Amino acid sequence: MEASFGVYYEKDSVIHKLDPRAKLLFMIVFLVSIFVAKDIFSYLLLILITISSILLSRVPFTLVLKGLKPIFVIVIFTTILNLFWTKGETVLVSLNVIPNFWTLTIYKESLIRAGVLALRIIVLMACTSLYFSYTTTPIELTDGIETGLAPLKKIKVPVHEFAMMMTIALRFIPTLIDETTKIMNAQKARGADFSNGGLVKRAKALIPIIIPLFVSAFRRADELATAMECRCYRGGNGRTRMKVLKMKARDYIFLLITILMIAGVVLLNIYAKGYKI
Amino acid sequence: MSNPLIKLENVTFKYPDSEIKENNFAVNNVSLEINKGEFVAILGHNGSGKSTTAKLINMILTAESGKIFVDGKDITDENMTEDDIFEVRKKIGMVFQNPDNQIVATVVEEDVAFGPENLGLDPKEIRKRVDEALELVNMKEYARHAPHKLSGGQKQRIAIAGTIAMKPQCIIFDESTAMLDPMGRKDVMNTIKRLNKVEGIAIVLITHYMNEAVQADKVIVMKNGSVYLEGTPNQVFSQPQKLWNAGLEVPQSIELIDKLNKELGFDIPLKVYALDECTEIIKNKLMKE
Amino acid sequence: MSIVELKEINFIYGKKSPYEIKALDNVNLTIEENCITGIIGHTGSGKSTLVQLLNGLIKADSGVVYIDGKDIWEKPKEISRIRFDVGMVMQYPEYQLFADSVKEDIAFGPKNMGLSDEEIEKRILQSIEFCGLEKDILDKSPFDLSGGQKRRVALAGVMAMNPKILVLDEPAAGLDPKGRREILGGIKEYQRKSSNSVVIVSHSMEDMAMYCDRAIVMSHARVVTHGTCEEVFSQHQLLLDVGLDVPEITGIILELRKKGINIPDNIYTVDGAVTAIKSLYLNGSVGGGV
Repeated sequence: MEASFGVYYEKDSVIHKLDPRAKLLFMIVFLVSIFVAKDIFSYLLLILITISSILLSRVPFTLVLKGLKPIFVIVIFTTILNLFWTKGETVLVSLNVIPNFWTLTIYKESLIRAGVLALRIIVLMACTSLYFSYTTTPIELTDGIETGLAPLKKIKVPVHEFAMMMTIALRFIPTLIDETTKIMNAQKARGADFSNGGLVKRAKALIPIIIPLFVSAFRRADELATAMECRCYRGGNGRTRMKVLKMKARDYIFLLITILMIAGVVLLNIYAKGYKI
Repeated sequence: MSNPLIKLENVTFKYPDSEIKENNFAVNNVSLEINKGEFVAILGHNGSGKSTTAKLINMILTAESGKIFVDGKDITDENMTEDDIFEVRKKIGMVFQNPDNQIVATVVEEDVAFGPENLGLDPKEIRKRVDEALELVNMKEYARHAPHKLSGGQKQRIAIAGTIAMKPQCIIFDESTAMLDPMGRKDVMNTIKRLNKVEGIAIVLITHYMNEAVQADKVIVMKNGSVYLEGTPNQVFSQPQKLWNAGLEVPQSIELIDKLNKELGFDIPLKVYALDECTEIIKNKLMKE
Repeated sequence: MSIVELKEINFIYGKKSPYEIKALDNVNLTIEENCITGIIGHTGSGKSTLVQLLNGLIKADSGVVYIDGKDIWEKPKEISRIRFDVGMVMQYPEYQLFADSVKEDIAFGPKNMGLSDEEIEKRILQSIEFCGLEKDILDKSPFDLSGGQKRRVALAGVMAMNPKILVLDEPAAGLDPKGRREILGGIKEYQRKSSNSVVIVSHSMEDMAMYCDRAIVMSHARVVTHGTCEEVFSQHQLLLDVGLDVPEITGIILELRKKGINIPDNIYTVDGAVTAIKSLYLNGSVGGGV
């Protein structure tokens, strides 16, 4: 279970070494680019960037694809929705499924729209997982969020608190997973049955696990809060950090590439003679 | 001796009734002193008020009546500001029972840095302190590890390092060895003794283990919220009956000597003996016949 | 008669991964019925794994577990039935409490067994007595109790299932000396009165010496020695070799022997030591023949 959360792939690549803030900025721009992209060539540019990022990071393609597994359901679902329920001009297929009642029509435009949407999701997820989890440790990420989003504090966004919450959540996930196993074993030893019976019975069987788990989580939270207070914690004010993030030359080059990327997308939208979506 | 580092004068505390019953035990008219560089063990049954006392010193709780001085400053003063509380916690570090519930970060060295970061120190100074602290608890090679994969004893030493990195004058250990196996306990005890002897940090060790308490300079026994016995380990452990009354026990060597004295009319003084000393005395008693 | 028999048990954690750990290495063992058996060993010696095999929470990679002469994995689908025969109290069992009242919580196990209401009622009363709890606690919420009381309620919840074997992992962990004495004393009383078998896993050599009839010593995934407490605790060198302490009192006896006192080497309780020294002192055969 642990593996599915924050799978860091240790390698000494350029992408790994990038400042998390630079990655954060890149991802925001990348997200915008995906939605701005209108021309088929601008999409190709984004795909090209995704593929070269993966190559540069030296994270195996297979691993990235494996990581995409959970979203395939969503991709397939939205593709089907788009295929069947949106209308276009050019009819590709027309099938009289139930005579005089329902005709399945697939339009060329729908097909393209569905394909593009699937592509959007896949590219976005591939890049997010590559930049945020395969090449960035959770702690780098939280640090990046905390310092990168620091300007937002001016408009009262609780950036430090958010980063602290993330850190603590990451710290306690493995602990709580262990705890769940222990409680489950304890209840099994008292004859609890989690695998038989109908839905209601199974849901009921979870009570002896969920209640102790909650009680324990609250106790832990309480003890942790006391321990943090004892270590002079009083929020983000006046707090310094041991590791100070520093933007290096490669980070600035990366940001330049980021700017070129969105500029490229916009220019291609306007000037390229490809298919417009 | 100059001013004591920590001084409690007739301190009383009661948990509000809404609290769960376990904590309903009050601290009742407790007076005690802990000097700079001293190693004090506090013994007592569950709910005897020893943990509550610790929390009062660290201002996690506020005393109802009585006075508490930390390094000469009255911390029960109504005009204590948040900055004053901050100063108290800087001086008095605390390590708790459950190692899992006091580690904040997902990487060992980041966790040790947490305290110094809160103090607002310069990054270079924090780095230096973190390295020194990890060195002191013999955990340097684990600096980049994830805490949840370490053993209980190792986690507890990380928690200790996190406290040392704040350079406190005193560390309170609130049953910090209770959840550990014998090896982990030994490691932690060795670390505690080193901090006391080499670094000169005052230690308050709250524990159930008599063999840990005998290593202290002073032992305080609490019972039902009050101080029941106080003295050097020798003075305290020479009263086995009283310790039993307080729900505690004595080391087996003392129990043996006490029983031999009673059954065979020996007059061996009751005190904390090293193995060799204890057996030598029994041997001499037997050989005389 | 033995109640548990383990035959050539092997158990590996993280099989075929780089972190492969052999937790049990060809373990053969019997546990006698109608007595308290202590399992002693360091963290990672394999004792926790061994215990989890007994009620089928995990399955050995090879080898057979017999409880009362029956292979527990004979019908894998019915493995949960074995948990009515082998009751298990985990470390810090107070964290498994969940019901609205103590009574309901203790009744959880017996209810899962499908017992009648009267029988459950009877068992609840019996088990709280073994655990030193008063009747008026039954209607309280388990979350309002003290830590020590919660521990006893959790213990009572398993005792009420009246299992043929009761397995306890560090039942006294974190308790003060009085709490330790009471809970271990209660377990001993339960064993004597019910004639069920009890297995206790613990780090404390002193506690084991005080409360167990037999002992099993584990080290590095193997059973190093087992037998009556007397047999096990007299093998001091072996215990020291696997990195365990002997009880303090045994250390004293050994040191006395080194100094030429002719005292038996199978003493592991203070009272035993007092008796032995007394008889030496009164008979005057102190320094014999060494």
